[in-house]
Amino acid sequence: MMFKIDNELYSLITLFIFLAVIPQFLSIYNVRLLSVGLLYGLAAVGFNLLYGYTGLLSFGHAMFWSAGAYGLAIGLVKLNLDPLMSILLAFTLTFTVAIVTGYLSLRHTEIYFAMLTLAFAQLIYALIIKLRDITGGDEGIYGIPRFPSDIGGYYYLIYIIVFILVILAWWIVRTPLGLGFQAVRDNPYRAEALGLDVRRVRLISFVLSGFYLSIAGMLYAPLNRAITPDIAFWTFSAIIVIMTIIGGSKNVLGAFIGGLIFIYINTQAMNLTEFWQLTLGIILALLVYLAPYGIVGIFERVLRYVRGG
Amino acid sequence: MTQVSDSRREWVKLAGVGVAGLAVGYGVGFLTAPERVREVETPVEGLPGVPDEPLKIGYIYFMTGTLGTYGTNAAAAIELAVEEINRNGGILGRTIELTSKDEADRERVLDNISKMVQDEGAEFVVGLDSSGDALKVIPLVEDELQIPFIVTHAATPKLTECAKRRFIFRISMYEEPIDIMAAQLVKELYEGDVTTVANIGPDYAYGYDSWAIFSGTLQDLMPDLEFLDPIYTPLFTTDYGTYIDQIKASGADLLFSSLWGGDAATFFKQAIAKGLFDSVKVYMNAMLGATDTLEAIGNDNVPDNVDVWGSGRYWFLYPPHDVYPLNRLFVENFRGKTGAYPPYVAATSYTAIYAIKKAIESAYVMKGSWPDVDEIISALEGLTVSGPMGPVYIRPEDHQGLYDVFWGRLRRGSPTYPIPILDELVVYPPGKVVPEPLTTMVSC
Repeated sequence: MMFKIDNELYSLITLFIFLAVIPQFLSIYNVRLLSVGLLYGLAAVGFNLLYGYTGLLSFGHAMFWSAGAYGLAIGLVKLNLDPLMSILLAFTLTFTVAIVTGYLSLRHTEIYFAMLTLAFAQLIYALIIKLRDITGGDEGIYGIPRFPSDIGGYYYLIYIIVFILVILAWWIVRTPLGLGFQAVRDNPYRAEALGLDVRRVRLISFVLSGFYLSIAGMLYAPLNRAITPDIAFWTFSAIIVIMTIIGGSKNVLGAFIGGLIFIYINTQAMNLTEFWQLTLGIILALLVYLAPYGIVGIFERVLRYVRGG
Repeated sequence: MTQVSDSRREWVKLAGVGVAGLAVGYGVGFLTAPERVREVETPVEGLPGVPDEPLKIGYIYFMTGTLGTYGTNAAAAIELAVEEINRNGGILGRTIELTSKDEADRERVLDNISKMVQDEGAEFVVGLDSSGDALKVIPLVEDELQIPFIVTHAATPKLTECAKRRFIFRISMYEEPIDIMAAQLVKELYEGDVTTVANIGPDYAYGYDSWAIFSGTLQDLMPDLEFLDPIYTPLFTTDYGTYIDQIKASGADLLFSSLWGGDAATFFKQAIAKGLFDSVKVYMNAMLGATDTLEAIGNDNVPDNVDVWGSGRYWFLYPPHDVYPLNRLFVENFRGKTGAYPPYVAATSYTAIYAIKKAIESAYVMKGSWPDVDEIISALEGLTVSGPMGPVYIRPEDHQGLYDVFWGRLRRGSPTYPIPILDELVVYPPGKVVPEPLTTMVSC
């Protein structure tokens, strides 16, 4: 099957070339920030497979990020497993969480689905807090090893994985499977009539989306070399939703840019005022009202205007 | 022999005359010199080897949200210390500049600390309220930032007891000595009077560790006591009714608690209202000695039928103001700035700034120029700095700040104070209650 190389792919490639070069000109702190930005971008892209492409709003995606992060950290620090086994453990954990919560919550859609995912995610959060011997409880796990150990080197490890997965997402949404996601999103009854197993398609999207978040979490734990249960709390799930909406949920590019940019908006808001949460809130409200298709939507509008004029 | 001795005497005499001559000459010269020359005598370039640009110190606390008062109090105390130091010429002539971040931005704590150090140029960082955060910053600070980091609040024993950190210090007293002293106090005052011990604490590591340390120590001291299953409650509980009933029904006569902040006040007021202290004879709360908690309790809620003991990491009336003026001045200045009596975070964060100043000055004396990080670390190890809580000794083996540990009785503060106060303070020197360096009662 052939794929038309479209503007979105061009934009993504350009963006990644830029992201490959830019760390050479940044301070170590900004490279760290950009590393988080890449991971947030990856998370938003993964989340958007479910939200933008399959039409399901999950309010509990922090559970996948933390399944990856905790799975890896428990493997490396608590069980002293080698990296490969730890990654395997993290994947197993993610898969279990995704299948169980997906199977149970996908009985519903819309707000009911959102509430169910929120509930399951909070359950995972409670488990992390309670299973102190394994997870360290509220004190978390610290001393997670990182390879390569310097931020500059680790950035490129993140970069390569994020690059592959983002391009993969661009590809997936153009395969029959990805088109199936969109068919289910646009009209589940018609999709069913055409012979698609709607629940199964949704479950695949849910699990796939979860794995994206999980990998982001797995890369996040060694970046910080320590994790606390905050990454499993519902506020982090909300951040994942927000950054996707900021960037634009229409395509892979939008979500990725949303994740990248969110980290900078957050940091700037914090520098400007002690009422950073309020500032952040106002920016988000304005974006949602004035640019329902996110930042990428604005660009497209400008581009269309310029061309049309 | 004599010749040598004589010649030495001659030399000394000569030198003496010479010095006297120089002194006279200098004095005459100084007095007769025109004004312009005398101005040159005062240094305008600062001390040798001291950088001109300000010294940047970063701090991070909960500045917003439910725990926001921790941060605002700490910030006020830090500003107070910095104003005092800058007014008197800064540190060796170098003024201090502050930068800060909000610990309430939960997912970004490490990024924000990195920002202060790597982007904004902070050479020291102080702060942290959450124990989880204090443990989380260890790899970042020790392996990447590598600057002195002084924890002023987070109280987990693991920070200083599990391993010696190179760059991380804690100046605030932590939970273990306070809980150990509580057990010793029970033995001293209530042996034979109490039989059954209950616990109500917050449902997270701090609550579990506190009870483990207190009950473990007490069991060794008084093996005949009966220890009930501990009760743990979620943070920010509004109704403690069922827990209070449970304690009442259990027949406990000694109740230990590590509830803190608003929770400690809410529980205490509800316990009085529900008559808990008809059966409980002794109530000990390790975090009661916080002025904001006492303010929330209020002077009307001090019961007479129970011995209530409270502790903390600083109490604004200790050391007594008449014998230790530094504390009096701190309390007055802090009140002048904020209108409130200083809580413990204020005292510890204020002291952290002075510890930095003193360490830099000590290291400078030996070197003659501005010290590097390693030299500052060496100077902090074993440093004694005077804070509002008295002299604080930074133990070199584990980087833990040590000072007097206290428990006091809850009394009405009126008419002198608008809040209840701790009275009849029992004070133990740290040597009596702080474990040996790098030994611990919790699992690392």
